[in-house]
Amino acid sequence: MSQSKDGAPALQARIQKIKEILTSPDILTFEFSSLSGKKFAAVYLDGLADKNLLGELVVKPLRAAQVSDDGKEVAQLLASPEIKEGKDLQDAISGILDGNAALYIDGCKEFYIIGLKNPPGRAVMEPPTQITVKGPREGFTEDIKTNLGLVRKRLKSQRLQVKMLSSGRQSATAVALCYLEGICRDEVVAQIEEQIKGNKIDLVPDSSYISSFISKHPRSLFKHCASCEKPDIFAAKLCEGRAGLIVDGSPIALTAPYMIVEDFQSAEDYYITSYRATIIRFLRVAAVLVGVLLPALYICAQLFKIQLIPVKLLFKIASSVSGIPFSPSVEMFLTLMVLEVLNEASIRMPKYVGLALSVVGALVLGDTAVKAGIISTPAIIIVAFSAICLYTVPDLVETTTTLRLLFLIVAGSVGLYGIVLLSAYILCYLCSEQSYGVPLLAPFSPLVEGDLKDAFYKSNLYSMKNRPRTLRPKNKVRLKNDKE
Amino acid sequence: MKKINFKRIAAVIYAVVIIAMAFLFFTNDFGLVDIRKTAVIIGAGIDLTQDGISVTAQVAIPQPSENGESTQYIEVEGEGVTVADALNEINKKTGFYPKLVFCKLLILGESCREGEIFEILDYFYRDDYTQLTPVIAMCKGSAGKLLASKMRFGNTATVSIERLLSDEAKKSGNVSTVNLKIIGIDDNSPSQACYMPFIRAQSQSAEDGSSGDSSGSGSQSGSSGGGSGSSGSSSGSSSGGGQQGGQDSPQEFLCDRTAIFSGGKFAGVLDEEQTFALNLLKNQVRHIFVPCEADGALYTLGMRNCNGGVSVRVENGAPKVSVSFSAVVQISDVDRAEDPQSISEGVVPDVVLAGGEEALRKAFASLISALQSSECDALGLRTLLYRFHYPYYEQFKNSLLTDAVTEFDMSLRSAG
Amino acid sequence: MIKNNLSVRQICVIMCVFNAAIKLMLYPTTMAAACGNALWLPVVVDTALQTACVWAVCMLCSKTDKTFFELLSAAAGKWTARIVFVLFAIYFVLCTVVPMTEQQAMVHEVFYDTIPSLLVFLPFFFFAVYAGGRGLTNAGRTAEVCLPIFIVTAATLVIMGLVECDFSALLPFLRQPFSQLVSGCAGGFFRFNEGALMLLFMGNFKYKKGDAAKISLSCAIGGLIVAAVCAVFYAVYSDLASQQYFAITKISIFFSAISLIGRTDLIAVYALDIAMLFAIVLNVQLAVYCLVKATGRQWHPAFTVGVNAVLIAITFVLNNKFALAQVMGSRYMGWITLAFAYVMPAVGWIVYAAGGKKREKN
Repeated sequence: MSQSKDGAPALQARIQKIKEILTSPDILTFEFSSLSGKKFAAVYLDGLADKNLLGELVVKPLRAAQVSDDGKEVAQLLASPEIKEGKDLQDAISGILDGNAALYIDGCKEFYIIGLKNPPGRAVMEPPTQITVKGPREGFTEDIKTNLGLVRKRLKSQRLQVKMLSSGRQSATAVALCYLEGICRDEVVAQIEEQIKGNKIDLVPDSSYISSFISKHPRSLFKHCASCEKPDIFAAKLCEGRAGLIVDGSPIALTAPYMIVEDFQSAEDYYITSYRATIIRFLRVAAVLVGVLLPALYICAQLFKIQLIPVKLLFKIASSVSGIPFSPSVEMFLTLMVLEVLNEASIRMPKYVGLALSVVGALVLGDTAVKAGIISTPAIIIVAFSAICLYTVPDLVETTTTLRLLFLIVAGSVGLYGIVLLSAYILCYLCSEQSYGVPLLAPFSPLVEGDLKDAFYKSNLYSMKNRPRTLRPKNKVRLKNDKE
Repeated sequence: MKKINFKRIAAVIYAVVIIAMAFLFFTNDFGLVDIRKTAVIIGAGIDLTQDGISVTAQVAIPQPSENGESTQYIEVEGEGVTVADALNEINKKTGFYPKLVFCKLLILGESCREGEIFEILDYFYRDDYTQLTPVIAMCKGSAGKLLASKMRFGNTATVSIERLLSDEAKKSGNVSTVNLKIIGIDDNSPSQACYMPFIRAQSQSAEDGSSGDSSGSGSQSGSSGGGSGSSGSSSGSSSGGGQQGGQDSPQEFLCDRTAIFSGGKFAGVLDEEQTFALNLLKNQVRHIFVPCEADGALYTLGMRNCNGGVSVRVENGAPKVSVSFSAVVQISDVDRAEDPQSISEGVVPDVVLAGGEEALRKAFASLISALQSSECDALGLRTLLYRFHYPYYEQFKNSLLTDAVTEFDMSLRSAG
Repeated sequence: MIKNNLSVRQICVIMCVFNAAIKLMLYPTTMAAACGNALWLPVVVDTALQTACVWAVCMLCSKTDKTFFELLSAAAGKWTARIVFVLFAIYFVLCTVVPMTEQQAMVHEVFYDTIPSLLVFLPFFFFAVYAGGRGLTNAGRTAEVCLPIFIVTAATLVIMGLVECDFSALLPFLRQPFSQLVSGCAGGFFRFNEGALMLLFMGNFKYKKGDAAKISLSCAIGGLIVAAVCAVFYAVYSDLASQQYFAITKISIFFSAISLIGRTDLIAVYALDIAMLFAIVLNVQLAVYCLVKATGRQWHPAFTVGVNAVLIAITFVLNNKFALAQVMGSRYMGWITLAFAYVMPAVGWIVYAAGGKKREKN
């Protein structure tokens, strides 16, 4: 390789070296010269780097400048605010693959990584799941920088710390670990960081991968970290003493430690009156219990204990089921499977076909099947109602639909005692599980009375003076009057 | 020795359990009786026969329908040495497993007077799967034929009779509604006496005349002093005559008499006035109507806030029974026209109140006389002595019913 | 890692809720059969006796923060302590037998319309194997979860039962022969083992001033809850009470709304059964805890599986011999309970004192 006088490899040789490693045709090189004839080369990834920014912030100022031989003033000449001196070839390659540009100077050992990243992405819009009627409507996007900006917009505090980590051997996905210094426990931050760094997976396309890394029991049916799509919720959780993770390429941020009661809280609870919020919370809990247990109880009532059903309703149900060729458990199981198929197909199918197939699903599978005597009307009502109930807590839908199926199988095979045993088993399991030292069932078990204000019921904003004691934050007080 | 991998063993066990449960789930064939194999018995009639016991069950058979509105009711009879035997016979006849969990009504036929009723009812107290909630009554004639009758109101005999014996009827004071629990407790108490409504068909009440079923010295069902509330007891004549001849024509039933039992054995039937008095003293009645004569006219008094009861005390070494009743009274109707002024004031004159008190006193006296003559402590006097005056129990338990002095404490006040 | 740390609140809840729940199955019926309308009295007497023992153990906890095993080891040597703890493990296995057979009978009667096979009860042991090895910390947390469940369900059932109550059925007051009352107390004696529980909780919680009163009061309240349920039960059923098994499932069936909305009180019964399950499994957890202490090893699944294997064998032997279990319990378990729930707390004080003298010598 030819070299300059101070031992720096020649410009072409450096470009060649990069091209030997990054052989893809979308790695582009732009060579230009300054006014003084100094040659430069910018290597960047087409599609990720913003060529306009390259032109405006790099090429234009350098072309118009007199650059000395040693090129030391180049950094001052560039108009970009994001300039970093590169260390080695690997650094250059990481920068290029990240969407930045590597700027090489002919005859100089130093090179610069210039921040020009502008990957294609969505605009900030309302997230599809955590919808509020009253309250902010901004949601996270797939771009980590935008997401961090949204968080910073809400937490203009010097305590907000962001640690940039990288996960994925091939994807090198940026993961931002956010926390409020002086509030979040140091050991939580340290443990999360250690677990992210310790994982050697190839690709991290989404935050759900990260959530399984940071969970002690990744195979558990219950998650060990919470997810949110909205920056206001994320900021609120950081203020309570949690640590948060924003993953590049995923609009879903994670927070830990996690308690199950979080999924029953909605952002809207904090923007409406506390009485309404309390009623809605009770409703959510009741809805989830009904959604999970109703199909199982219906089976048990038919098979094992008809006394559970009032006599007039019993006769109606008995009339409806008496011609059905399947046993009650098989009928319910098939109806649930049809619902799951409809659910899955409605998400996957193309929009234009969706309407027609929805009609097929609703009318043909539902109404016609009942008329044909294949399934009974009560079964359809129960399955439909159960599905609606479970969606009152969308964050728990994966867990609750699985639990519903488990309860159904147990109910159909063992009966009512099976439901009781499975409920006790789940309770016992949840009592023994923790998320970063915080029990999943907190603040109910172990009972932390002060935290019930925002768990069991929603009390007034001014009553919640302290952060949740369950999280053991370093700074306990979150609300202070001027008089205090 | 190889180290046992418990995790692997646990995983295998979980897999085996899931497969076993899936097998049970999909086959459901482990001997359980589900809704489709069940005969839901909503009412049962029991008669004593020469060979043993006959049980007529009114069974609901749901018919297949999309909107679940079709339920057929049939009567199935089974005979056996015991009630359990007879039910087993029903199982054999129908192929369905008879479940009594929804049985709301038990009717004992007239033939059950001969025996000890708790020998017949023993099955219901023994069976772990049967509750003590069914309402129980005795009927004139055969319980089986009663259940098979066509009803004027309601589509089945059970539903119609249940309506007559409902809580609402009980609160009007006209019907002595009891269930298996109550008669079991009463029979096992120191009083060893119980009672139950006595059902007869409307046509039978015409045939009865006056003394057919009444206890020895009980008074007749007169218009004075007897409650004749309209709940359940239908007015108008039944078509045909009597229960046996009129099975094809719609029937109406009356439950305003009471069969009394002492030591499990039949002791007589109280007439309407005595039944009314019994209900005022034993049950929480809400709104009653009492006809009385006062000031040369016949009044129907409506009474609310009724509070009746019996107490026993021992004074100067002698037992005393105190019958008390208080209520707030309004004049519901009079058999003569009254001036608008007095109607609007709503004040019940003292003479009318006195007439009402006299009518009630007469009813209570009639009741006590009937119970004394039949030696049936249906009012639970011995039980009251046992519970509240235990030291005197042994001394007076045998003579309490016959020798105790009865005092009446009536307190009626005008609503206006 | 299995943890055995408890908080005082959790111990109070265990003393109140678990000990009440485990006695609500067949105990009221047996007391009704033994003592008639004075069925609440043996409950109060046995509760008072055990509360005194619990208080004594709590006072011992105020003197030392060592576990009972450590106290025994210090005073009498490790092998003596191990033998005692093996005996404790056997005791807790025996304590499980009667409630387990009652639970089995209750499942057969209350959860099913027609008699199911023994196999339907066997899934209980899957739960017992899982929960039995969770440790005392888990027991405390599940107790806290069971507290609102127990309060709501028991209160619902009792309130529904109050409609049909005739409290005069509890009269005349204390007219039974004294021997009958003593026999009632003796018959239910084996069900009260709070003193033995408290001995094993020793050293696993941080004692603060006033905790003895709290824990003893909780124990007393648990007993009074059982007495109250017994009173309501007898007020509903009077002389028929001795025929009505599983009192708590029967007191609400006369509530007028039941005829309209079906047996929804059974939902409360099934929810209450969750608390009963945890109460029964607590004995298994304590048996496993004692075995772990006795062997001096870390917890291993073999301990839990072993204890449950013994219980399964007993279940098979006692299948359809429910009355035998009751008779064995009332006849023989009473003496064993006397030894472990009354004598052992006294032994605890003795070994503490002996340990103190040793410390002085040294």
